[in-house]
Amino acid sequence: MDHDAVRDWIDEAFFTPATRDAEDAAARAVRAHLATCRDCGAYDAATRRAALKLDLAAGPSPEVRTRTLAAARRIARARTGASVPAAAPRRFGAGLTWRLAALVVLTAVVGAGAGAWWAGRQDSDADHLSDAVAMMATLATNAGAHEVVLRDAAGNGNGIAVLSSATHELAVFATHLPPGIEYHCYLERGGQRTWIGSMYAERGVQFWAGDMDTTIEMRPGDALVVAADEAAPAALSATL
Amino acid sequence: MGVTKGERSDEELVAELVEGDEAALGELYDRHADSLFRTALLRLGDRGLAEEVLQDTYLALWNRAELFDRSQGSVIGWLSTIARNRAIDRLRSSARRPAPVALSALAGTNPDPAAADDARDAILAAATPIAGVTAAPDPEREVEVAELRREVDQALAHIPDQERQVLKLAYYEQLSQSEIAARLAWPLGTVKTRTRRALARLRETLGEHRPS
Repeated sequence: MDHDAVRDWIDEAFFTPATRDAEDAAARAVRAHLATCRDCGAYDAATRRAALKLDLAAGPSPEVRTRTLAAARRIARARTGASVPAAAPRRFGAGLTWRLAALVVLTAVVGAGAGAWWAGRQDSDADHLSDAVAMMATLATNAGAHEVVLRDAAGNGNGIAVLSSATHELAVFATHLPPGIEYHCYLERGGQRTWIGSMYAERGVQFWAGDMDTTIEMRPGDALVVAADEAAPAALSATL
Repeated sequence: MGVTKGERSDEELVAELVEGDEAALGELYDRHADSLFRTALLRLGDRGLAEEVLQDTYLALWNRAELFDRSQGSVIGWLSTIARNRAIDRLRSSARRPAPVALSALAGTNPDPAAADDARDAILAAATPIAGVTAAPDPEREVEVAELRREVDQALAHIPDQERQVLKLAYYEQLSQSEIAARLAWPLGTVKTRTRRALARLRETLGEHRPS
């Protein structure tokens, strides 16, 4: 890749930062070029410096405030509904599996025990799990959301995902995965995987919940995959 | 941000959060979001990720407000701890992503590592726990942020109007060049040229780039 092509790529990344996350041939070629070309390295550093200053001066987008308060509202509603977990499953409709109910109960347990732990660490995956289950509970009540069971190669249903293609929200929970491995969620289409997020782990549950990147478009026939990395065999998967 | 007479303190707002008062969450957001965002941005070097961390931080506050202990420090200190931990989580879990922006970004083109660290610490100080219960403003930090904003304003002011227009649409509104061309009724080639020129000017002013 020549200097001009590299600088075009850097300019593109200024306006579309996700370009820097790409693992395609162009991104690899740019990284290789930057490793050896001092001038283009300076060009890249100056571009990033300009972007950082713009971002620091601008502060967060106003949409973040709106999203945050909307999410808080959803959690509050879910929290109210989940206050009696034993009776909660009916709220989520007939499609709710026993695993979903179990996770609601699990959250109640984690939530009850989190106080003492929190006092020591102030922040932990425990509250991630609690947040994730709360989000899942809310998401499951949305008309456009649906759930799928994630299965391993032997067909065991060891995970569940609730997702909405309309709002781009997704909550994924998995159990019985070999420990000591960081798992990721992917959307798979035609053998190509698109990374959604890295899963958290807590008390034997691997989970991820949140708003997916808006560039990720889910279509019927796509697969939701949990795997150790982009090329690894699916630990769990479900066809949407 | 300071608390003036008649305003509720951060601690009072947290107490109201425990009761589920969403307005209190909004007020705490307005007071501290900028500072927490900068904390996350400097660690992550990615605006989108920093915004995610900001949202995570406030949702953690919303979910765990009852655990705030004023004897342990201020609300902004607590929030800063959460934001830093969440940012570290993101870095650990995003091994695919590039390393955060070198903080020499704030120290010029020929950074001395110590100067870069100083710059980083100065900015991060905005979110450092402040002794005492009330989140008092840090005058030194306020000045630095104000200076940064002035620098950016000056850099933008030196860009011709039409170039600045495309820059803002592309950068802040994330419009593609085709979308900008449609919105402004300019030929696509014109949009591309003006975008390139605007970025080149910013690179020279804010980025301190001197073409070799």
